[in-house]
Amino acid sequence: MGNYVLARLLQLLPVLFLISLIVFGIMHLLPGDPALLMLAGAEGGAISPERLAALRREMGLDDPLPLQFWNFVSGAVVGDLGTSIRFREPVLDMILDRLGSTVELAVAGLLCAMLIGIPLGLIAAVRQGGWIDAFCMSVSYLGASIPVYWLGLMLIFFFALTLGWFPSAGGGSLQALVLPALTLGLISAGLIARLVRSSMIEVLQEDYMRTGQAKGLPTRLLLWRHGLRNALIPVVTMMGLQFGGMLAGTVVTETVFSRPGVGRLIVNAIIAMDYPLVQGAVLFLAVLYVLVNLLVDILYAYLDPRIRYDS
Amino acid sequence: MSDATLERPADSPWRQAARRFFAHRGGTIGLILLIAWVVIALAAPMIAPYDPDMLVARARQAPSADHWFGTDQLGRDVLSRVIHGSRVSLTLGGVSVTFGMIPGVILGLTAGYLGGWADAVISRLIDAMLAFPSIILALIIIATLGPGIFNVMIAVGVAAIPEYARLMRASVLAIKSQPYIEAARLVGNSPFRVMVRHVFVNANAPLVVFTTLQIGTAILVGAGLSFLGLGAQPPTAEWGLMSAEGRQLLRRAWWISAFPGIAILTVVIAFNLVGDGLRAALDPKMRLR
Repeated sequence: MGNYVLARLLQLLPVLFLISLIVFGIMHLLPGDPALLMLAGAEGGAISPERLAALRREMGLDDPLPLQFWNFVSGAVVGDLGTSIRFREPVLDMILDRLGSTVELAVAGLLCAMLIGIPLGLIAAVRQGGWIDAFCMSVSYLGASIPVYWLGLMLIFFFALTLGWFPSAGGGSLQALVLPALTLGLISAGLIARLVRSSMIEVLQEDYMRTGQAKGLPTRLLLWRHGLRNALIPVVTMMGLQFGGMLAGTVVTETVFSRPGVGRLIVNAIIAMDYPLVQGAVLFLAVLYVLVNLLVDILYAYLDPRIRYDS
Repeated sequence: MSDATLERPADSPWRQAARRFFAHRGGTIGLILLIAWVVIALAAPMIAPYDPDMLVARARQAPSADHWFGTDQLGRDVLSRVIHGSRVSLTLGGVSVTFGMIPGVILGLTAGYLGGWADAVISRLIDAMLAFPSIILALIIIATLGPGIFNVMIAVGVAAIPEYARLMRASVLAIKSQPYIEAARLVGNSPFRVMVRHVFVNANAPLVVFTTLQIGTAILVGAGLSFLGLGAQPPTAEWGLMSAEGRQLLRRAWWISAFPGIAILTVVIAFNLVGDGLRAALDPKMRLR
């Protein structure tokens, strides 16, 4: 197991290098001058060439590209993601300040998705072909077709503005977390329900399920102990991907609910043309996403004894 | 009885696929919905009751017989704006998918067919790009190009390149070892010709299905980016932007935000249904997820 983890960590290095190359490459090779866009965004009107030259120097844009890339990567390795042009604060500090809120939202969203998706998928599988099954499939269709921001707005309208059960904006309290988490959760609940359903239908046909039934196990025990446990194995793999989706979903959800978080930080940085902040925050999220997926893989290998990790 | 089946001329593959598609109820419903939206988009100026950019009534009027979807924060007719918004969203879907498909297919085809170091390099690159959630990838591109609806199309398209490449590579690998590919090579076709005329043509069923679903996804992501203020700019009648404009008025005028969202929902459902129908039609072996 130790070797497996080590091997996976080593495999991670080239991926991390390529990720930073892609972030850097997109931001530096595409047409468009960051310094020019930034000045236009901040001051508008006529931009003096002297100001532009000074800013380009300050941002290091006049250095040769390989040197810029080296500075970016060697900084990132030791936790220096640069300084926000607008806020004059280290990018990493700004991210870490808001990371808690974002992770909290992503975890709560995932929890909501599981609490809704797993029972729905389970019931749909057991009552295959019935109206619950049809309902489950429809919900999963809706989840894949609804704009996240719109679902958020509608939840605000009904549960915050009309019924007054939850606050419509802000962060910090558990109350304020409910609607954003539900927004994220409902979107992926359908996907999880579909997955649990198809996985459960396969498990229901296994020999050990028939054995359990034949020896007279109570249905509920059979389904919980033997059915669901085996059906959830593919669902665990899915969780890593879903968590990444949740992190991405926070970009929109945090804006809808005016929650302070990394997603909203990125959006505001793009609007304000704060390049170092965008670059650093995006790199941070991508690395976080890769690490979460790795963690899930390792957890999966640990949970499922059929996976061999000696080779 | 067996004589009768022998005498009947064999159906063309196209007709068989069409029959399977229309046997799929969801696909048929989706297609009708999709055609309806395309007609609405094409005929928008004729169908829309008002000019989408004109102030035609008092602001924030609730839905009524004169204004079915109400009026927005400035007094423009929401129904007319929703109708015109279909043009932006359908264009976004089509254009952005093209931006993703062409480079993605070329990369995947090259990697899968050539193998060796070309495959190694392209596959590493695809893996690394897949490490980004696609909206994050789209965000970096917009950060570089600047906000705007056309840049959103580019960004959403480019963000789909790795998925196209992965899909194409996988289907090429499955087809490459088929005897007819070897035959095509042995009779003296150039590698390029084999790749385009034989491998690609036989590998494109999953591509058609994925593209249909991807148009729906692109419309969703594009509207989301416009909602965030990174895409279409006022006074464009764009669905995401319209929902954003109504956001502060949700309590007093829910219809400004609500109707554009319902429009997106129906368009995206249409693409998803058609995609599933195509999956059933083009690859009967492929199990419905």
